[in-house]
Amino acid sequence: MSETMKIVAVTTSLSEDSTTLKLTDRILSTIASVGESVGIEITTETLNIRSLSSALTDMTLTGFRSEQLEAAFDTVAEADAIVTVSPVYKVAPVGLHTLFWQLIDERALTRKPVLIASTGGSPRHSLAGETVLRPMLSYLKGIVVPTTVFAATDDWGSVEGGRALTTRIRQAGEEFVSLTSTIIGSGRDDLAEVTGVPDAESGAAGAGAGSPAAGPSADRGRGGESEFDPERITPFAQLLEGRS
Amino acid sequence: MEFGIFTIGDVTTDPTDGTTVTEHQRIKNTVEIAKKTEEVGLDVFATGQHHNPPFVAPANPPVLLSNIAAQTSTLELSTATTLITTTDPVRIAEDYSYAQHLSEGRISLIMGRGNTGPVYPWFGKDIRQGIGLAVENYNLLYRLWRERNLDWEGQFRTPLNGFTVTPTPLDEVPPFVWHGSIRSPEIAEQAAYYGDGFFHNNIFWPTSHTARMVQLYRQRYEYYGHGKASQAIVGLGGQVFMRKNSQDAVREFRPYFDNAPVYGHGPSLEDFSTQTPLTVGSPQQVIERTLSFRDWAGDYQRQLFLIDHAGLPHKTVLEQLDLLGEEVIPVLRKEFAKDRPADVPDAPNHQSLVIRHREGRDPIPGGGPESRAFADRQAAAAEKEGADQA
Repeated sequence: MSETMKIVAVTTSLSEDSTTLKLTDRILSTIASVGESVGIEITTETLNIRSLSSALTDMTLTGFRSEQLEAAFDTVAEADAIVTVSPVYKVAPVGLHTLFWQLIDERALTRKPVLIASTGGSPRHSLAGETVLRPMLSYLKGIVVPTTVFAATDDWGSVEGGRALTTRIRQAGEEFVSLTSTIIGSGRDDLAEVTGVPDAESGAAGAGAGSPAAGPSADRGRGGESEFDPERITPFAQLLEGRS
Repeated sequence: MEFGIFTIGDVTTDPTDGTTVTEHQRIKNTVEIAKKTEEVGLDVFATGQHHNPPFVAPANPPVLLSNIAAQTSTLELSTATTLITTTDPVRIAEDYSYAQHLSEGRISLIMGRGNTGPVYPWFGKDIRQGIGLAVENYNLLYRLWRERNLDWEGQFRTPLNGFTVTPTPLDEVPPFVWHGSIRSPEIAEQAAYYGDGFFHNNIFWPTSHTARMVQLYRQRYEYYGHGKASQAIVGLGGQVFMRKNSQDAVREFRPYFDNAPVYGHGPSLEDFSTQTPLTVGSPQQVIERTLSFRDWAGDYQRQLFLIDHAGLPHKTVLEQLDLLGEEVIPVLRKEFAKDRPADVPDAPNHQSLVIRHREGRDPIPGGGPESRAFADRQAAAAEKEGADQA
């Protein structure tokens, strides 16, 4: 049985032909070829945060999420694993990019491997992803792969730089695919119990949820919805315990 | 079904001329708005509770509500909301009872936790305990209004020994309570548990979210055996600005929207109108939008509109009330009554609550012997007993 894996790249590409978009494409195609070599079918999708800039600002000011933003959060929730790619400004990923991760639901990345990549003008920016994004993504319960990718101007210009970048992308891609594959392949229901992930969809899937045929999507629930499920709510008597 | 307005008493600079109303004037205007609410034929005036500028909604709403009660005769006086987290339940019990007597039973409450973090420490409370405070304080309030010589001990206030509130509620029937929440499922659950009403302010959120909260409340109301899901007591907010001609409404309201403290300098008026229940346009547009709430909320009991905010001149607010009274509410009453099942209750008021009480039909918190909740409790207890014996 061949596995399938859904990868979503969350990228902040500010111009049409940006190096950030170029790096995103290279990482995704490397991941696809790593997958192919080990018999995993991989689908990829790219979310460009640029198109969400107004919606993110509006949500910051009003707490209100537009349909477009809701759809983007859903896309992340439905992915098996995430690649995040951002340009670095003043030794930190550009604010628009971090804002997306700051506004997404708590625990949005639960059990999802995340690969951090960034672009910048000089190698002095290379640790921005490590220092700013890694703790933020870990806070969201993402499993950040050990190797991060950083591409400076030099990496695109020189032969040695290009080679080093290719090697690094390959290494990060392999770690990413193998980690994702391990998580998809492991006993999903058991793991869900351990991490406390509300698996909103497995109930609907019925008996199929426990069988391999249900596939990797069986418990890709959205944490945000199940808290409003009348069958799952904490009974009031429990909230009231010791208070009356 | 009852219709009314709710206010947060914000003192906001009018962005079109830079003037700011004084606190004194805003308070006097609020009383005038409430009186006009009755004059134009609406049912409810509701005030927020505030302890900080730029708001002059009262710190203790019964002060304002009693003053209005003295100048009106049929208007239902409500809060939106009473801060159940930071206000001593003993004071809530006594102050609202008193106002209930003065107003001949025209008082109801919407409970809220408040959304300004700093308020909690002003009253010696901890915002991290918000839900716990709402749960414990309301349970105490519920008992204070129904039991004499109460012995009570809890986590958040000094114990009570043999305590009886004074005055006791009018006709021994406490004011009706709604529980308001924007996004906490615990509060919808709380409202259902007691058989109280659930109010969603419905202003800043997409209807899909509000519908989810209302559905949760309705189903749990049925679970606790207070009636069918369709009979649960639901209230919704909304905000509107109207002129006869819809373009005039948009043109006039835009500067207020663009500079409003809450959403100003953010989304466009058009986006916000699409994404939330805000309706800026003709009375007919307000009618259509409001009627559409029934599509996702079901037949409901209370509709409140926010109309006096963001620095709008007092004269404009009074004109909005005229439009509501003359053109909007009469049509809404007629249309909402159409196809409304006979077993869906009207909004509770003192008279209906007194009858319910005398007929012994008061809701039983957590569900009486007929409820699914009761059956589940029995089953759980039997299982536990079995386990203990084994």
